[in-house]
Amino acid sequence: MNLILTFSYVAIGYFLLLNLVYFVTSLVAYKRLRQYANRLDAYPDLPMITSGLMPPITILAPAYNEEQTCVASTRALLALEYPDYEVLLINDGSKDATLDRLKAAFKLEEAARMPTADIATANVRAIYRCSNIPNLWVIDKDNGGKADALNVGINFSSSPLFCGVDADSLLERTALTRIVRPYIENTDTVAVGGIIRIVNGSHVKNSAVNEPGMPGSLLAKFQVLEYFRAFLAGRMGWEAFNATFIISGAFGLFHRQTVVDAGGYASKHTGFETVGEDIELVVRLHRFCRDQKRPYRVSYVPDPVAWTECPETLSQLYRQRSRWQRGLLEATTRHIGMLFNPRYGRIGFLAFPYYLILEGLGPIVEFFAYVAFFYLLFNMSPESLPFLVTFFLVSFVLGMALSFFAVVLEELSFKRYPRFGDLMQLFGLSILESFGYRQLNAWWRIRGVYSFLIGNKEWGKMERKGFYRPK
Amino acid sequence: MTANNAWPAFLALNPMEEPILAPLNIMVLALLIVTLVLALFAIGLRLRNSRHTLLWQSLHAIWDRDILAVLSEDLDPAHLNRLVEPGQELNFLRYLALYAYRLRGSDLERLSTLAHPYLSHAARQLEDSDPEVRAWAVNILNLFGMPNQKHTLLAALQDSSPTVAMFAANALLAHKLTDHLGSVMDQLHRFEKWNLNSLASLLASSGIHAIPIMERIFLDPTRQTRTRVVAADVLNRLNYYAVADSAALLLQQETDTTMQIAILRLLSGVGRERHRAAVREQCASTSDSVRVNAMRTLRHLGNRDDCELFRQAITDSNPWVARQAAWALKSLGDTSSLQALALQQHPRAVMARQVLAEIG
Repeated sequence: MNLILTFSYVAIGYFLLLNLVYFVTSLVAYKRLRQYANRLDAYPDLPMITSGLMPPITILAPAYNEEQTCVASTRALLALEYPDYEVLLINDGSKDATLDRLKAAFKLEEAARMPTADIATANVRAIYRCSNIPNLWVIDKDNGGKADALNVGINFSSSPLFCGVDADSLLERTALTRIVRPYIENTDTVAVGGIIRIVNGSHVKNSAVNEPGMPGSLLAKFQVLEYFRAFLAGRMGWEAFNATFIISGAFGLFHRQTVVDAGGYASKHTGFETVGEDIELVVRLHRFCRDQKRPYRVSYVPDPVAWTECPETLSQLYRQRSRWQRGLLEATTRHIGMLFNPRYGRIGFLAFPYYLILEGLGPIVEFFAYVAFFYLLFNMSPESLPFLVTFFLVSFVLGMALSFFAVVLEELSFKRYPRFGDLMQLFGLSILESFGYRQLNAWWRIRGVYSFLIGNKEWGKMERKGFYRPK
Repeated sequence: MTANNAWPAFLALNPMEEPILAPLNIMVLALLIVTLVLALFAIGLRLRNSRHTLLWQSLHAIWDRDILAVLSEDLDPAHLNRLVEPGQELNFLRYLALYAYRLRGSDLERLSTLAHPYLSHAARQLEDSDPEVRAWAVNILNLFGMPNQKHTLLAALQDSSPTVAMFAANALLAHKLTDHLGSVMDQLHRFEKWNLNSLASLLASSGIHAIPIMERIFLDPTRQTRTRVVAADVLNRLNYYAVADSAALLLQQETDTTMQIAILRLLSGVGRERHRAAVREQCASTSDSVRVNAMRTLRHLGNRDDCELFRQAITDSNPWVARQAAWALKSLGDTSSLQALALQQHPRAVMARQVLAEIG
């Protein structure tokens, strides 16, 4: 019984600490987002775009079986407002018609292109260039995974900065202009993350999100709220502490040479295969720069938006969440030497412990707390029931308050969902998610922990519906 | 207290007798209130944003009717000024700024006339505690208030926020107020993290009047390397050919690779054929970055006598050096070695094919 007692204290400690972190990051994010909104008022992008001072950027878009969305995504990438960029689309040995569709849509011709780095990768089969759009290149390679495809892109990119995006993402037209700002203002910047938003339910026209809207499916709606919490509260808060730990693989800008020096993305060809290659790279950049005593900064900008399609079925969402959890654990355990290591400063003492212990291993505590809750509910003495109910209420209301806070942050800053009904829906979702969705998430993440423990390396499959839906 | 060791201690308590439930209940209540406040705040923000959007649209509708007539000189600016009601001054400046970014010359002057009565409102924003608001004010004064507001902007150069100071520097230099170039240079250390290209472009915007001070800084070995690098870039942007001889001489003495690169870049813009010898020496540097820049510079200054050096460099271990050499050979019309390389099973064969296929 001491075990139950100990566990209950661990659970309460975890609960308090986790929510304290969420609360602090939300508060800090509030201040930062206000500043950022003022800043956008103060100096719009136009003078910078026309100044000719923006550094060249290569967009790396790996594609694997993306026949549904690859042409639209590529068109969106070609329509960005940025003076000097090229698009390198890497077909990672797709088994569907991805390459054929690209060839047909963009009249691709085989061309020579010199590699500029030699990160180990799978075999490159052919390189194509669009005959009438000179800044579009397609590299066809043997399948090696997303990280391997990105490494091929890095090997063939020739600009000081590269932007990694998912081929199924839609970047907003001004996304590059905004994400490059930290690099212009601080040349120590080695990586910058942008915000990911959910495209499901939005009206897409001419390769751009014309009218953002809430998705139709309840599962996707919950994810909208989660993304608010993760990107507006979480990442913004960590950025304020100069401890950005995660840059989403769907949209991030990197200093090419630093990434090459650090060894590129982790893949089976570079000796460490992980499904969390985006997290692993950022952790490794922190480690590499601190080990080398290089001044550096990993930054996050809340405004450059990449829209992405989120899973709408339980099985797909399970695979995604399980994979994210596994990726987080793979990335953090690979660099376990950073944990509470003074050499790594606030990364080693704040961000790393938070992500490894509270986010990585937390679901185990969370899940067993749910199990214990129901066990106690049916087995405890009736006098003690109010305790259990009260504790549940604290947890429920706290979760709800944090979600409401994330909605406030959205309203304060970018206001992408203009309908009043959307706001009400978001409030409703904040209440509803405690009844089933959070528990399911905890279960999926536990499955992710299990997959990590047994050494599973599979990615799972995501079926795309495409961006264009009837309004 | 009910003694029941089967459960965690707090669950074994009798809530009716123990006071521990009370704080938990208060916590729930407090959190509920916080949640409610947050919900009301979000709704309030939504209403404020909607009201703001409507207000902005209605102001646009009113001002849009006359702005084009003012810009085309069909209407007196005072007419539009009369439509700006008290409390709308800052919004009007924001509105004018939308046009100002896209207009130049006499059109911009007419916008400045429109903005003039309200610039004191913008100047007052310089006292705001938020640096972003102060930066906005500097930007507005830069757009519409120069040169009259130069003393305000000189003061802003000392602002505690580097961003505000940068905006002030930009304003002073963009309006060719070169008397204050020294003041800006004194603040250069505050922009040390900024992209060098941006800094050099900023300083070069002050025009040829900046040349004497930039030349002095560039040739002064007691100055910080970064400041000298920026000065070299400014001289390059201003096409100051007269500095090339001194630069070539300096290149032969300089041991700092950052300075070597800066000088090579300068020579690539302002150098002459007589400076080839100094540049060729750097083509054998052990530093990849120096070699790349030397090769690039020699590509601009070199002649067919340098082809042998370029031919050797197309197989350089550094791909960037090799590519510069390949481009140089192509621009000098010596493509035979590239064609031969393109047909070989050589690591640089792809590069040769790519350079040969490139237009120009």
